[in-house]
Amino acid sequence: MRKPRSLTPLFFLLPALVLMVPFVIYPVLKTIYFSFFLNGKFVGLDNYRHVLLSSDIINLERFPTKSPPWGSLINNIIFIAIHLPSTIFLGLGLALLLRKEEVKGSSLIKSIVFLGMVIPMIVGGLITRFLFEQGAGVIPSVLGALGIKSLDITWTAFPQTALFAVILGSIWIWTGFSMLMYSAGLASIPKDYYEAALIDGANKFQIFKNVTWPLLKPITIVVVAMTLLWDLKIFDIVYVATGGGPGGASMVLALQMWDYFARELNYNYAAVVAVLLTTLTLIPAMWLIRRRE
Amino acid sequence: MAGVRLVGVWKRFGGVVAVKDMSLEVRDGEFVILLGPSGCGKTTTLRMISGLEEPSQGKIFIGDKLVADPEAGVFVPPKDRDIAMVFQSYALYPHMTVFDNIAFPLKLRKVPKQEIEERVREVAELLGLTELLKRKPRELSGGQRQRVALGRAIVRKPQVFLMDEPLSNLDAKLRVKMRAELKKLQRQLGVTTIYVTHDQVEAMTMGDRVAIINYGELQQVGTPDEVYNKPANIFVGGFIGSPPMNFLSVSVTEDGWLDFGEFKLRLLPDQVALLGELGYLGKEVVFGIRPEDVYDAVFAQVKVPGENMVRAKVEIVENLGSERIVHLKVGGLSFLGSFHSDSKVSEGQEVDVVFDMKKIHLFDKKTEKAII
Ligand SMILES: Nc1ncnc2c1ncn2[C@@H]1O[C@H](COP(=O)(O)OP(=O)(O)OP(=O)(O)O)[C@@H](O)[C@H]1O
Ligand SMILES: [Mg+2]
Repeated sequence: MRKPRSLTPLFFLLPALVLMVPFVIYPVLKTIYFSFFLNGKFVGLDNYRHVLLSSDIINLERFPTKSPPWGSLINNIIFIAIHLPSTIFLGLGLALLLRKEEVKGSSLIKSIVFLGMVIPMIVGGLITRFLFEQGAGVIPSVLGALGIKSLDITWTAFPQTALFAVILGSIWIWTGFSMLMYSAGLASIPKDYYEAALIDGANKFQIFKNVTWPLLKPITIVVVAMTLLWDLKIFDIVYVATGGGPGGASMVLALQMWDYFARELNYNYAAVVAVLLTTLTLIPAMWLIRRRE
Repeated sequence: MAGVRLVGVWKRFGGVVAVKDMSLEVRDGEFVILLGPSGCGKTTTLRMISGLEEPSQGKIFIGDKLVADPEAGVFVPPKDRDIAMVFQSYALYPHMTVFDNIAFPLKLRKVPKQEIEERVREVAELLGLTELLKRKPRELSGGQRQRVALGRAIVRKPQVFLMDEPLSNLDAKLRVKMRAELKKLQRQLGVTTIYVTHDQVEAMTMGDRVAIINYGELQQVGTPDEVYNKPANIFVGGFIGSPPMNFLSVSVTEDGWLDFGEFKLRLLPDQVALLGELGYLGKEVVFGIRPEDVYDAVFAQVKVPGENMVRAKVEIVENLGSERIVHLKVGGLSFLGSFHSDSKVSEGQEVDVVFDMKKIHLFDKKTEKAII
């Protein structure tokens, strides 16, 4: 009885495993392998040393005192530091505001926010680029009209603003995800808890702090992990909106890998970045899987 | 401590009238049950008292304080009403321990830590929850959760307890036990309690008084004895008691008999006098009698053939051990009798049946209100 039982699941997984070996596992191993070679020669950790110490990845000469480029790893970290709290805050805020059906235009606002999730990322990148274009985009015009002339510029063309244009664009694109998750989370909290808290004497803020927020914790875990993954892997929007420029000011790891690979034709450095990026994404991924179990 | 008073309270949800012109006074320290069939507006009434729902019209007082009156623009939010509520679902915060659940209302009121600790322990002691204080609600049984919900209500020492079917999620045995415990606890604390249920046994056993509601309208308020023995109308008569009261259409003759067509019963002299006074002689009325007031003639004390006794056919006998529910038929008229367990009746047999004329009820055919 025991043997067939333990082998059966494996049998059903076989087709998937057969596909995974050549298309996933082999390339991963091969990439790791490549990362230890340069021009066909085994160089140990030299590639890692070179990439990690290069100003492409971490530019400590310019960060944080001088203007960008600051290096793609730092850019990714800045990206996360702004994008993660913003999307959580906005998504949760919108979900809370639009919770009741009676709110006028709630489904319209939800649709607009969610549009960011639906459109292809390439289009999102293009929209971002136009949003921040001097003379054409809304944001420079509005800021200009408010008298902030220094920001009435084409954001993607200047090193000081390029990264922030991409981050702000990404906030719109990704807020729909957290809004959707939190909307579903809020809908799943029985109204009895709120009413019990009301009777126990809680005000709106206390209800949020003591009831809503703790009960949304499983949702928050998913949103944080998924956003971290998305932020670390960010590529298309940057590629289309700024191409990582100007002068690498908005370069991120995934695009850096592409740059090493396609422009500098250095597969080995590209492989190093790939391994680093994968390691970084594994952290939130493993955390998420652990928490879900 | 305080009583609760509703004056002409209405609640409409769009076109639905959930509560209709409800006036009810609950005295200080009293245990009053709101009883009625599903959807009759019990929960809505309770929620209006708690402040979770605003009445469409009418006034609600807690103690001397007006807490809701839409006409005057008065609406006191739940937290300022000094009430505590036990929900049917218990609504224990799943992420908090038992201790934190009970302590929550005190924490919100900024009670000093030391005092919170003392009061929670005290309540836990009272409810037998001391061992469970560190657990989360999901690690508790239904009865334990129920007690935690009670604890959360008690700990604040509110003016009024509101409870919405707090026992309905428990199994039958536990329900009987908790019924007694709850009653005892209420006595001990002496807090005004309004308790919603659709279970008439709970209502009869726990309440100082029972308020019976149907279709959002208050039908009768009285002690369990009053609503059982002197139902104000056909609905109350039929709703309270199991098996339910028998209802038969009957005409009152001028000379003081009840004429069922198939047979006649002689009214008692004071009954005739009353019916004459109210002008019911010669009129059609609805006759009601509880099954336990219909006797197997063998066990009847007062039997006068032709006056309170009739020969009936036994259709079905349900043996409950303590009694026998007998389905009886006289011609086309059917009714139930609850016979002594020693009664020898068997199905298909004919039996002499005696009506206890002192216990009969008569209702107006149109208004359905009780005459006798
Ligand atoms: N929020 C609401 N919106 C619309 N109708 C409602 C609402 N709440 C209650 N009702 C209606 O009001 C009436 C009374 O409801 P209520 O919940 O008070 O009944 P209940 O006596 O508590 O019934 P049950 O024993 O089933 O709990 C019902 O017809 C119900 O459909
Ligand atoms: Mg109800």
